[in-house]
Amino acid sequence: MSSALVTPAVPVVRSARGRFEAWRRFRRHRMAVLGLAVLATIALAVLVGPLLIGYDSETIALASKNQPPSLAHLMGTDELGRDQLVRVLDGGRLTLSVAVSAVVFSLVVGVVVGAVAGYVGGALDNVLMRVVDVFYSLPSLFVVILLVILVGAGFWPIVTAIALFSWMNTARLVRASYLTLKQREFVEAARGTGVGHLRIAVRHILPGALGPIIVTATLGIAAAILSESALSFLGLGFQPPQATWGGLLYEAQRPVVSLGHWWRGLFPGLMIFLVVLSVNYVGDGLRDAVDPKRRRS
Amino acid sequence: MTDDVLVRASGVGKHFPVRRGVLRRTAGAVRAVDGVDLDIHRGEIVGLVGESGSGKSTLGRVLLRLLEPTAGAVTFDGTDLTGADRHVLRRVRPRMQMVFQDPYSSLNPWMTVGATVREALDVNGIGAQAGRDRRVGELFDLVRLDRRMVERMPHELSGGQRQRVGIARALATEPEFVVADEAIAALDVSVQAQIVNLLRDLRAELGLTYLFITHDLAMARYLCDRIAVLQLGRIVEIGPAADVAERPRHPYTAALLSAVPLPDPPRERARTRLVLSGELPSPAAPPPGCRFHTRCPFATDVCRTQEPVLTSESSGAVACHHHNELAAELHAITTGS
Amino acid sequence: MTPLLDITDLSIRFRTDDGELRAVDGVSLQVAEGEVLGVVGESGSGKSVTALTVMGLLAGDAAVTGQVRYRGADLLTMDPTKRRALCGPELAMVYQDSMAVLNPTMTVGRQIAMVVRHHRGGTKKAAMERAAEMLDLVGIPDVRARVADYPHQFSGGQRQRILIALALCCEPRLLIADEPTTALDVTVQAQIVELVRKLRSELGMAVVWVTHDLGVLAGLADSVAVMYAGRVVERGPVDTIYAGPRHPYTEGLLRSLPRLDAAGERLTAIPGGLPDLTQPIPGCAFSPRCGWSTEHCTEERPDLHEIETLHASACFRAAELPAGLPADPDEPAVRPVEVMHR
Repeated sequence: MSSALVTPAVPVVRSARGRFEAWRRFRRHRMAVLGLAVLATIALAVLVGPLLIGYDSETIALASKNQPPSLAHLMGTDELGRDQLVRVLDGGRLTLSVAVSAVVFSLVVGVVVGAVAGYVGGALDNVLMRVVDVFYSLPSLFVVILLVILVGAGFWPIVTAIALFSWMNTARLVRASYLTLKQREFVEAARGTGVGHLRIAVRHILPGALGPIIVTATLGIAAAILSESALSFLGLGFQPPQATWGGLLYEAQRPVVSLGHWWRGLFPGLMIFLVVLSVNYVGDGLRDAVDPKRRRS
Repeated sequence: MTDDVLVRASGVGKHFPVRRGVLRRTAGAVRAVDGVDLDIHRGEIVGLVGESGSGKSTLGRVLLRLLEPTAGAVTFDGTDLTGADRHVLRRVRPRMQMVFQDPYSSLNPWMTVGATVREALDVNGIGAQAGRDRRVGELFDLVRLDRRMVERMPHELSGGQRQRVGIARALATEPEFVVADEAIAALDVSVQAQIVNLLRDLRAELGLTYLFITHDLAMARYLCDRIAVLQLGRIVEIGPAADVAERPRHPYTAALLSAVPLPDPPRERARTRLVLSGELPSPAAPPPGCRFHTRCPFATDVCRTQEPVLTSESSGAVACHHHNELAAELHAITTGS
Repeated sequence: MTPLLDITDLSIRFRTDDGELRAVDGVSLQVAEGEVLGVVGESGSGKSVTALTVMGLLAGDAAVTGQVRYRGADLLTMDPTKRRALCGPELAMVYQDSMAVLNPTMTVGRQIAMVVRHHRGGTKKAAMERAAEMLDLVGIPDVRARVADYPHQFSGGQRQRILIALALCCEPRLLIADEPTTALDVTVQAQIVELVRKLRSELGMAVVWVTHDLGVLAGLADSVAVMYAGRVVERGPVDTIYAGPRHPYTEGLLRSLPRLDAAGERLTAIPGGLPDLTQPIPGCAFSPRCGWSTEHCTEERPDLHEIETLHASACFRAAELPAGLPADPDEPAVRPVEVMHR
């Protein structure tokens, strides 16, 4: 009970309390909070970590090649003697930037398309959904290869290529949410008091679509990391010596299998695993946090 | 009295197309509201009574121009709303508001109730920015809600409290005309009385005009000055509330009245009821003749072929071929003997 | 004579974020063979939870204490298999939301036939016969054709009738109806009440009818129990309860009903709302909303005590309450105190 007396003139109407409530609900999810902590640590590490370590990710030092983890090289070294820890952190920065950018990009496209289709409905809905169908049925790999060949590999082409084929799920789910929510009485009530369409779509309906958006976003992060790895594997992603987690994993295939250099695969794999898992838990927590009616955890 | 009419419906109809098949071709129409004339005077409470499917909610929305009528015209304070452009609507809309049936779904679950009320002030640019929070507080006072509740989320409030928020939202734009669409149907009986009394007090305080849509004739009798009874999209009887509730002239009104339980066990057990047989016909295919004849125990041949027109009587109007012969019988049913 | 259903000192608690919620707190109710008991109260009074407990349908996280004896056997401690076998032929329930209860992918005939075969065995054909017979009994027109229809093809009132048919197909001795007419039009409500009244006199079953509306019970119930904040605050024969309520809450409920037969005066609404059931309530839970409340009422909790034969009230001032509703509307028994509640 908020017994703190609020004097009537104090502006209490804004949604500060709503946000606080959401954070309170989020905190109740232990795994989500843990996931958030893991993600924060990893983000911090990939941002400032490489500056603190005395190695450079691209300097070749054949004298110390293929070393297992030790105090000098916490994650060991590769066949060119490069420090794995620095490469994992450096690669992580790139991988995470690609993944986050691609997800943001695909969310923007997916939410806008889905919201417009669901809210406006009718012929426009039909057209937009057929566009979604077309994107589902396109041979994505072929188009991506074409795109990268035409534009050239690089950060933005790769982000665009991944985003271009991952917005459709979001669009469909957001459209479904809009279709149901726009029928609800509170939307009619808002319209009756004179609220405009844009404001209804953004302020009244979007919060209700946040659940599915968060779910697709969390799945999208994992998918984007894997897509980037696949592109790297095909030689269409980032080129060596530039490291990414996916790239490191693929580079590690032969050393792990035939030479038993387990550390080459373990650490980038572990990072992908940790990030994907944490993102999923954070997603769970967020989904509950944005749903005011979910009271028990 | 004519110059005192705030809302006038003349020959209002609302037909929804029924589409069938793969090509979604129009295969007929649901005539939810069909040829309704209704004048609502300033300061009056008109009850609109009928079963679900009678078209009463549709009519309420047409009067507020939340739905566009497919026939006839609606005027508000002399302004014809039929085909009115956005400019006119924008000016008129704040003057007429609606209170919704379900206090659970009519409030945005992701907004504090204060924000919901404040939004009505914001989008209509009412008052200075700085004064709006205070105005929200005043509106909460007006509907007898604790001001501290502005911070609450809808799910933290009881049904009655939510409905008060819904009323505060409707009153934010200082309307003259309010349509209350089954505003108490989803509430506990004990809370219904609170809300109805609030509506009554607000009319006295603010000089409001209401259309009170309900299926509960006893509540309509309590709150309203006049009652209009709607059956399959048509008004079958209209008149002063006491007359309609005590001396119904249409068998449908009598049937609705005899379905209202009397909170008096010996009389209730002894009562003879006018129980309607059969189901409500589909508004997509209303029966020929009187639309009530399939369920009317008094129906005769003329009822099956000829549609009765609403004819004025001493204090109201009724649409029944036999209203003169039936008067005594219907009165007996109503008094429960 | 042992009652058919005998609930003794039933308490039900739920764990919530805000602490333990006492949904039902020491409720005792009896239903005799063939009796219609009306249980009335606002949402949150514990009436539905009590009904669900009798049917064994409460979610697992509820802590239930007390006894629910059906023909002498305690349902709460009974072996679950044995208890399930009672549901149908002995106890049956009609729910408020027919759309949520009926399976949308199965014809109504099959749904009823399935229940019949589960409890009585027999051939599919015989079970379908029985289903058609039941649907006819509850007044579904053109039964032969309609047994093969799906729930969404029926109107709300018809679906409620189908639920009743489903509940009655094994001829239970006790029918529990939880707000079965709340979502329906008054006309349909009158039909359903009429139907239950008829079936009860034909089949001789007992009925527990749970509702928030005292009006519905007037022509239907033999006795009434009024619940407030998880407790029974008044119970007695239906005529006595309506003519001479002995608890301010019951009186408030009656006075908040609009009456066609005595129109005119202002309805006396009960001010405020239910107390927070996660907080301990030292005195009478109704005292903050009661015009009769004294200091005593806020300190000590009144227990249900008999004031005349069969008629019990949980009010310290039961004897002082005027017999019958005051004729003068200017002197309401429940003063409209404006109580601000959370």
